Amino acid sequence: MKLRTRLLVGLLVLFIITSTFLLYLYWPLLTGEKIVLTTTPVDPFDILRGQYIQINYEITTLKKIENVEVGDSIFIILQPDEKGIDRNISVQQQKPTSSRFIKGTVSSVYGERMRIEYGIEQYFFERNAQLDLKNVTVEVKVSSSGRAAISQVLSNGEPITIKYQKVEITS
Amino acid sequence: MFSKKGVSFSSVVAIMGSILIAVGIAWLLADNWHVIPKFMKIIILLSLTAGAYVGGTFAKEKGYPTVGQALFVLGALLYTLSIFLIAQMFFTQGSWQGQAWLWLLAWVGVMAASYIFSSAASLVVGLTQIIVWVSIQFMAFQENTNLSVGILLFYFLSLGIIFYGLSLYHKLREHDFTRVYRWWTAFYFLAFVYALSFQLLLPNVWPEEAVSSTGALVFLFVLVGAALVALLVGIIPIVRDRSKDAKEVLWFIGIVIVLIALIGSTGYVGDALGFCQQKSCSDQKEKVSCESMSPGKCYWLDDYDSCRDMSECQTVKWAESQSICEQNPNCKWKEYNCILKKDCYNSFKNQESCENSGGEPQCKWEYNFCTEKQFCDAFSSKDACGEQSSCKWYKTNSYGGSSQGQYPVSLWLLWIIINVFFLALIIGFIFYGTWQKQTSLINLGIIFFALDIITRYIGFIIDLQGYLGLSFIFITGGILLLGGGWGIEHWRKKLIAEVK
Repeated sequence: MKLRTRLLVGLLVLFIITSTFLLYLYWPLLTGEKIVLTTTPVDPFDILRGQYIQINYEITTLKKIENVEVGDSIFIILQPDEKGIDRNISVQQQKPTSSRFIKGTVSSVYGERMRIEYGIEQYFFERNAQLDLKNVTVEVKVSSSGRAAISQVLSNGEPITIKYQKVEITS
Repeated sequence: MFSKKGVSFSSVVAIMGSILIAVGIAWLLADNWHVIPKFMKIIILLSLTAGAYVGGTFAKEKGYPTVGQALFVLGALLYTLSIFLIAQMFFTQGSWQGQAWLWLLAWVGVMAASYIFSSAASLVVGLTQIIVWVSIQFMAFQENTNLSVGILLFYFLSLGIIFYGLSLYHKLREHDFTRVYRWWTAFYFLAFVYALSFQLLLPNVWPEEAVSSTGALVFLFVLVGAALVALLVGIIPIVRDRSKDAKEVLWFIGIVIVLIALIGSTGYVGDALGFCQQKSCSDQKEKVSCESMSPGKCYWLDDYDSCRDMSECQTVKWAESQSICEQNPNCKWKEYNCILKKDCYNSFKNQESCENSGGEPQCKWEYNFCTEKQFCDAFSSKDACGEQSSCKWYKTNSYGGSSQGQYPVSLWLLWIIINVFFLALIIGFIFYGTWQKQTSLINLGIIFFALDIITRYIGFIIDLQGYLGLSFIFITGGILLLGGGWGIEHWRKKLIAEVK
């Protein structure tokens, strides 16, 4: 194969992988139904991807259901309250046919409680950022399969504003 | 890169340049990330990646293969960076499993690009990424379960077999990557056994409390299956053609069998480091077993259905009432605190009063202090500790305060066997390099030989503390460095001259 043909094939392969990945990530945001979840955040750091808030949702820890094991998929059926925040009304292992729901994976079971992850537990930003983390809710879009993606983080019901400190490098 | 002449200095410098550029771009993007719109971020990342590959292709075309290789490495690193930054833009899971998926995706792309662009340097990036991916996947399995490190070692061993199978396959097809795979397999196995040669690792490979997880075992079966397929694909034509490589394959299978035996044998020294102590009352979950502990040690607290230590009043100090405090005959209620009636250390300041104090806890005079009597010999071996019903072995991950003589013979023996095997492997790879006329393999063997000497030398410094031991070690070290430096270089030059 000629060098330039190799170049075209190589770029095409990498483009296909990246585009498929992008489409997979973008799918819930393109097609999903909007829900709002309430949170309790903490503040760690990811060495590869920068700084983020680790978001614990109200629906992160729930009462254990029967026969559930770590790694099981689980569906949380939600209903918005008078403030527009989605609250858990029931939990089941079968995919619901027609209702507002989000899909999670059981990450641990302890006593009568179970911890569930939804793949939306991190919100990334840059270092030296200042955020108002009071009364944080998260607007999430959920695809028809139940897979969720964060569309925006809200503070007191408004999109969160991130201020960046100017850092000067001195020797 | 990986030509018959070995790796050139200029290619190493150019690749280091690529790594610096990739890191620089990562920092530049990270510093201005918030001012760039999401769509623009993706365009920038993809353009930079494509630019590196276009540059690499043109450099190769114009007769600058070294620069071309370096740019392909840059492309591989920028592609990996793109995957992680795109994931960041969409706030994907930061858990170990989330990271493992990203590494897998990065690895697939880099491996595909390495073959399409026929880039040996980019292939090394891909081969490194698969190790990172497997390690992170193991961490993901371990996130909620206490998995044995032994399983990770079998993952790595399977990977090594895959690398070797691929090196045979590429050799049969006379592919350009043959020498890369051969060098990588040698490097990989030497690094693997080097990691095993640390005494501290051995008791922690199969800890007793470790459990298995279905996901981790399924992943192991997949890797073992892939390793067998890779090995068979490489071996079958050799057996069919009765090739001279058959002897090499037999040696390799022998090495794998020895490694499986060594990893398995570490189970015999599992949890060998630790200390022996009286069983804790809280370990007893039943009233009968609680009260059968050594006389005066534990008591059953009905209010909480729990077994409590008679010498500990602190556990009831904060949250519980006077009535609960006084259920422990050794405790008394004083100024809203539950405290010990008798305290060996504070109550008795001379040997006579200490030894005649009576009651619980029992006291003994040691090192001019009155301390609580211990019923188990802290320095006894794990097996001897287990024979005493009231004692329990508490595992530690380090040598702690124990003296040298307390380490089990089995641990020393296994450590010596692994180190002898490591030395044999180094010498084996050096002779293999001479046979295959691949100088990079000889250099690799020599580097690991020097690394082994330095590592064991530092290990002995740590083990043989004290001025006499240290002065002996330093003098020996000096002679080794002076003589060894000259000897190793002389040896290396001689071997390379033989190859040429």
